[in-house]
Amino acid sequence: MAKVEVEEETGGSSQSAPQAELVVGLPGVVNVERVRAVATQWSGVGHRVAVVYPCVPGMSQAPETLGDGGEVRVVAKEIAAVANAAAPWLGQPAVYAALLAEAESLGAGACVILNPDLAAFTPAVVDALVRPIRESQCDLAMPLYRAGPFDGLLNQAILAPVTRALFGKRVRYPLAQDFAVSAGFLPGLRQSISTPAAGQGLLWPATEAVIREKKVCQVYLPVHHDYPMAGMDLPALLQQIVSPLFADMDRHASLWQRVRGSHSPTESGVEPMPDEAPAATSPDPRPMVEAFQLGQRNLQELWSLVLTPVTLLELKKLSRQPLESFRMPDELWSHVVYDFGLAYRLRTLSRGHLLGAMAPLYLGWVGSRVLEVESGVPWVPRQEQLERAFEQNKPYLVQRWRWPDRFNP
Amino acid sequence: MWNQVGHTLSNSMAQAMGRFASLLPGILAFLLAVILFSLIGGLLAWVVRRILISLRFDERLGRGTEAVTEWSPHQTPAGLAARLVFWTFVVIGITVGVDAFGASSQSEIAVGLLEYLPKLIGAGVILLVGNIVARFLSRGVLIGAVNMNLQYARLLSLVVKWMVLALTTAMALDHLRIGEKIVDLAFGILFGGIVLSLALSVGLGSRDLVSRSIEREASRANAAPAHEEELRHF
Repeated sequence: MAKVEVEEETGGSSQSAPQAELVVGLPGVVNVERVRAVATQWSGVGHRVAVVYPCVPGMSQAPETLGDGGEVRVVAKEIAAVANAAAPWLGQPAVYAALLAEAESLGAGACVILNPDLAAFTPAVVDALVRPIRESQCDLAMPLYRAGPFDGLLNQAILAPVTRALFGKRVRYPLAQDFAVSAGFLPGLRQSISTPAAGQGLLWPATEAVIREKKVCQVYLPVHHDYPMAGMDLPALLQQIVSPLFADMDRHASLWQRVRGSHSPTESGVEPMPDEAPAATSPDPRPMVEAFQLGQRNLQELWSLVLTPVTLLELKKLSRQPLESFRMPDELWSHVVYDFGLAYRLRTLSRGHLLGAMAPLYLGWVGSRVLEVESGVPWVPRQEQLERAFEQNKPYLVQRWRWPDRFNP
Repeated sequence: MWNQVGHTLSNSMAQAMGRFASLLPGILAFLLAVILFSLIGGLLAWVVRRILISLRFDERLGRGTEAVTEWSPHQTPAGLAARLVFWTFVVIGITVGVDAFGASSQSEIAVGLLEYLPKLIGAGVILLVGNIVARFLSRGVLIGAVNMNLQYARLLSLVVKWMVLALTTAMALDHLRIGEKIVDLAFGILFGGIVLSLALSVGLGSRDLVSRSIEREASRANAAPAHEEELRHF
């Protein structure tokens, strides 16, 4: 059984701390007892591990050393960060920056950041994430989760296709909260979230890796996160997640306009069999399609400030489709997303209103996807088709971005 | 007799022209002050904008300015600061010009008009702000109502917009002291009338319709979580 020793140093200081080969960062409120219990399993593996989690300033506890050889340290790091009241499960850039800085100061060979719900906090998952980095295959290991057709819909509809089209990397979960970073990429990633502009948004590790020309790989993880959405409406969710994506798009405009095509990162781990994916109970698409149609009837005036006349016409035609044949074409959806991204940059509407006006369109896309899955279309190839459509329509975005007034088809 | 009429007319014309000529230096001084201060304001606004951009003011201020830019989406915080500088100088120019005009003019009408000018500017500002607020609130209500699946979203948005505009107009007229009591009374009757008619229509006329609508919304709200549970947006 592992022996627990309490050191005299405070959680905030790390100058006298022993070197750690691996730092596991948990950027949020965690169940400390469970952290200790799992961390104990690392003792005896032959390398030093530090598990770091944030605590409120003034509430720090002394770091604990677990294991007979003192291989595992559990550190509560004092971090002054304002929690995201609307979506506490979204990682805060200040917390990420502090954890990455801690990993740097400990001289870690790799740093694994895991979702504070601890679903991925097991030696097996950490090892799977770190292995490609240890074997020098990549600088950033992103996860490939076991997901069903109705999981991570915002990721399927917007985050993954936009990231792939803009930055040329086919990363399936660009906003994943479980990832591993090599020692060489640690300073770059920390700096990227230390700027004032980035500090307000979210951390997009894959985007930063592409910008810094670091190698990215993806690892299959047998992990499934449950995000508490209770009490959070869709416009607020879009505001929390899509707004930072559009801000990032604006920030890196000069870079992504030069990127052509896309590449798949190397993949490792065991790909789950189709029947291993979470069972998908098909939801009723009618409320979503009705929400879209209601938006079409009432938000014309606002949409016309954002969307081009052709897109508006296509949406009008779509809203007249009966439920059975309601399908949102990929090209139309990509134009909608790109136009909203452009409107975010141009401040055509106030940004809160902009994302609110986008919600019925997104629900229309979700309704269309549900109907497709119900009709037996396999969703994984369908997702690939959607992402390819975003990529193919990138010239549309580039032209709109450069000449928003002149290019308005 | 015609000679006398012609003489009287030419005399009054000469007097009027004389009075107008006596106002000319004041008008010129007013225009000069406004133009000069506008130029200075424009120059300073440009300097302020360049400095703020070079200091990455917008990025540094961060989320604290979201509330400001929400109300005026076309403007960045640096742009707003530059505009504030410009318009401050324009207002100073008008004030200085009015003082110069008043000092050079002896006419009571001119002095009266000058005293009224600040009220006109104030009323203009009230109308401008009211218009921005009405547009912002009506859009917010429209989007919120659509996202709550309310069928009468557009009606709600229009009601909010016109109520804010009516309130703003009443405030502007009150500021100008035009029909003070009549405006107050008319506005009170209008507002009270709208609220009373809505209450009556909901309570009596559309009781069944409203209850059916509420039942429908309630059943939707109850049914919604079942669909939502199956969807994971993130």
